[in-house]
Amino acid sequence: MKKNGWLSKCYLGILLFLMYLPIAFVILYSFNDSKLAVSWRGYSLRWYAALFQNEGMLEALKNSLILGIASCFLAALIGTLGAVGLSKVHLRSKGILEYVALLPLMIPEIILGMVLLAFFSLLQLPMGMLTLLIAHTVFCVPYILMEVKARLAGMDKSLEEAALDLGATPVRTFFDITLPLIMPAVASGALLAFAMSMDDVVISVFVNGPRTNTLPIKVYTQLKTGVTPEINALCTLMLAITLLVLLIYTLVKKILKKA
Amino acid sequence: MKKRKNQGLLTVLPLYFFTLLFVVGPLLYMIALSFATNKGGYGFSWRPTLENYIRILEPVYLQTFLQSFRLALTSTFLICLLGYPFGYFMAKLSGKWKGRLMLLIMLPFWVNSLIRLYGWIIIFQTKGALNNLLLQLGILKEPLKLLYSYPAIVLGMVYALLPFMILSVYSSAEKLDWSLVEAARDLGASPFRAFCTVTLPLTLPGLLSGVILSFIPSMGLFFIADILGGNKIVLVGSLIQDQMTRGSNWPFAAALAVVLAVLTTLLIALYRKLTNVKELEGFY
Amino acid sequence: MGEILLELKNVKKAFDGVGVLEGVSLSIEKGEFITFLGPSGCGKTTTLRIIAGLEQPQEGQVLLEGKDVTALPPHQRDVNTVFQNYALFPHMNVADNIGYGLRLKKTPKDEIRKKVKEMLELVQLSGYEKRKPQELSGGQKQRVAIARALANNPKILLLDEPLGALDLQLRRAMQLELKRLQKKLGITFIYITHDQEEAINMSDRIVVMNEGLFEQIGTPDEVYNFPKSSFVATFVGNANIIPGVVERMQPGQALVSVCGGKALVRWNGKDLQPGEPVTLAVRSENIEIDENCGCGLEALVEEKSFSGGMLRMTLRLPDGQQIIASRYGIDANVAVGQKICFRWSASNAVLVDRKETP
Repeated sequence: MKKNGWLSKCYLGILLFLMYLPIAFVILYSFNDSKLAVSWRGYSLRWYAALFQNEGMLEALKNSLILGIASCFLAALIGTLGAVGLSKVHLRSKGILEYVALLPLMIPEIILGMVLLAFFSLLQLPMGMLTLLIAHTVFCVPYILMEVKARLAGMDKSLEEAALDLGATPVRTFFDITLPLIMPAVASGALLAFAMSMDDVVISVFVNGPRTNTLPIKVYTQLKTGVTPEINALCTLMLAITLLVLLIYTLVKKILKKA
Repeated sequence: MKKRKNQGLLTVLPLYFFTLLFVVGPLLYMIALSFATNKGGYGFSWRPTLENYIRILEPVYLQTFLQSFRLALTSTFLICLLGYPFGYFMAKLSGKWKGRLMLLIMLPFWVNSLIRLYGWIIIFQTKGALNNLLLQLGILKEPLKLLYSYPAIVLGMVYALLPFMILSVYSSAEKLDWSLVEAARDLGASPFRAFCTVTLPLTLPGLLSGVILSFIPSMGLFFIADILGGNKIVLVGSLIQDQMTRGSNWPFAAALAVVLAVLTTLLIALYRKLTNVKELEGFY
Repeated sequence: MGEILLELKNVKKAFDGVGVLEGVSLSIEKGEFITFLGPSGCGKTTTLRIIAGLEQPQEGQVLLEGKDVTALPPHQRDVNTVFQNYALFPHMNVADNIGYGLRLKKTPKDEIRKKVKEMLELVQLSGYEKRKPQELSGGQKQRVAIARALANNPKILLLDEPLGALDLQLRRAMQLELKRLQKKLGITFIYITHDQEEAINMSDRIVVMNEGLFEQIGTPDEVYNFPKSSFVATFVGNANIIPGVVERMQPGQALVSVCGGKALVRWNGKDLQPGEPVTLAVRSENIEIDENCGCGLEALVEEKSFSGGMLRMTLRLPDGQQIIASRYGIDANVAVGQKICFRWSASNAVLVDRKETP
């Protein structure tokens, strides 16, 4: 295989630079002393201090985290069980179910948001955390389903048969063999779903109701009305936490590998 | 004889139930709603009518659809142009660098996409970083008005959706057997020829799934047009949102959504026909 | 006769309407080493899976020690399997893999540890407890898979082409070892292979399968030397199948006209009518060639090849039929295109595809 030339490496570098450029500015401006994003007035941590006093913002963050974790968990449960079940049962409606279950990824988010709003009001559900939770679970399930399905397809069927053969009940087989083996797929699907949930505006904006804010919605309204730099600070903090978790994860993995 | 065939039935039930209730139900409701009669002020009656669909044919709305398509096509084209080489070069890196680059591409997903757009606003504002730089370097006399324009929206779209294309192409190019390219070269093909006749056709599924993954959302990402475009450009997404909230004409919004859904479904069907691939490549 | 451990009674199985097993019956005795031999797709793996309980037959019964276990799920059967691709659990180490079945039975930990150690000694892998399956070679994985299946003290051990993925040398060594294990433990082994050498080397009895049916059940000697059907003769013995017509009977022999000549064939059954069409099977090494063309049937040497210490000759008969003959060593006396004569002794020819048994 031919290696990349320096030109292609430059290309990769430049595009990555552009990808991170706006993020760098957000981080930089989170330390800006000025209230306006326009001018640079020197370093300050005032927005970090302000962030922890901004209850609306913290509330939105809390809602987003709860929502992300809860919908992720629910989706992981439904999606994993569903994928495992689908690989086992023989139903005529199986193909259709699989297709429909993945629909939320195949149609524009705006449609999903719109129909869910209409449908929830038909059911007379009060808009708020519950409707948000359902909506987020709707678009999180496909991520898990896809990941787990792919993993199951690559899994050696005789492993499960071997467990049954050695005397494990089907339920025991699921917990001893199937689940540990598909866990990486569940985890990566859930992680993706969590990221999507934490980032969703289009669907949330329809079903959040008048009083419930998620972080992306808060940011969206602020972008339309006027940004306070606390948001810069918040995003910088979130990025830092993500990086920290990643770092710890890789370190732990390295240490475990050595041991 | 006891049937042990459908042991796993219980485990599929939650998925069945959930999908029927919250995916199929709402979508059917949307279709029904699109034939209902609007009565103003969020009210509608179930008197069947084609009024909503006929209304889409009005020049204003047709224009909206056309504009959305144009924007989606432009962005998708640029995304292909930028993303394909990236994914392709990435697949040719050594294993260690592949992993690192993958991480670098996934990482921005953890920064709120709106905030990332906001970063561009900081840069492109009339008194923002780019103008300041250019003014100070003496390249410009007057600050440029970069925001709230069509190119700004395109930039936003490209920026938001590029990673999807990169990952799709990458996963396709990663699986490519490079000895095939070498075989083509060995048989006398120029590098360009080998690329066109071997690499491109074999990575086409990735490219096409990248197209789908960027085209479909770009029809609906109303907030990008909202934030970076001011109110100058109305997209189908914005129109639907508007009709659902301020315009309060749900049946019309439903009709718009049905048309949009049909168009995207056709697109995916076309993709499957073209590539013989059942699932979108890349993300999953 | 020992006591009967397993019985299959008219077992039928079809997948999506395509018949895989067309009604097979068999009794297996305690302590037997029995091999299912057949080409791929003949239904041997399906038979094994039905015995293990991983597949349900549409018709027929499986009896284990006289009890009907047809509907019993695999985890309730005292039968264990060594899977073709080993199926070692990748997230468990060797000891946990071997001890898995015992853990399910809630065996005390000390006992499990003892048993695992014992099993590893048995398959000559002591000290490998903490290894992960990924760190083992093919042969080692094989041993662990066997140890895991044996740790449960099964009444029957099922082995699905367990040596298929190993290279020739290792396969020979493992054949001997498996046989040794089976003798030592006295457990019934049901073994699947498509390799006739393997089957002949190891088995007490061989079940030759073809297209969902048992073609012949017998000792290696019976199957090899007295094939009942042309399929068994060709699959097990690489025999030539030659059509002929009965001329007349002699004591213990029949004179048959074949290939434009006459030949004798062993026959102890009731007298055959002159003019009756029959099918003969003669293994290639039993075809004697006479370069000088003194007697026997005439043929042309069409092809010569040398492999495994044997010279293989393809002979073309005047009526277009092909016969394969082989002999040890390279023979310079026979050239391609040469006219030769060949024959066989009556005791080396068998009549196959007959309804009645001799």
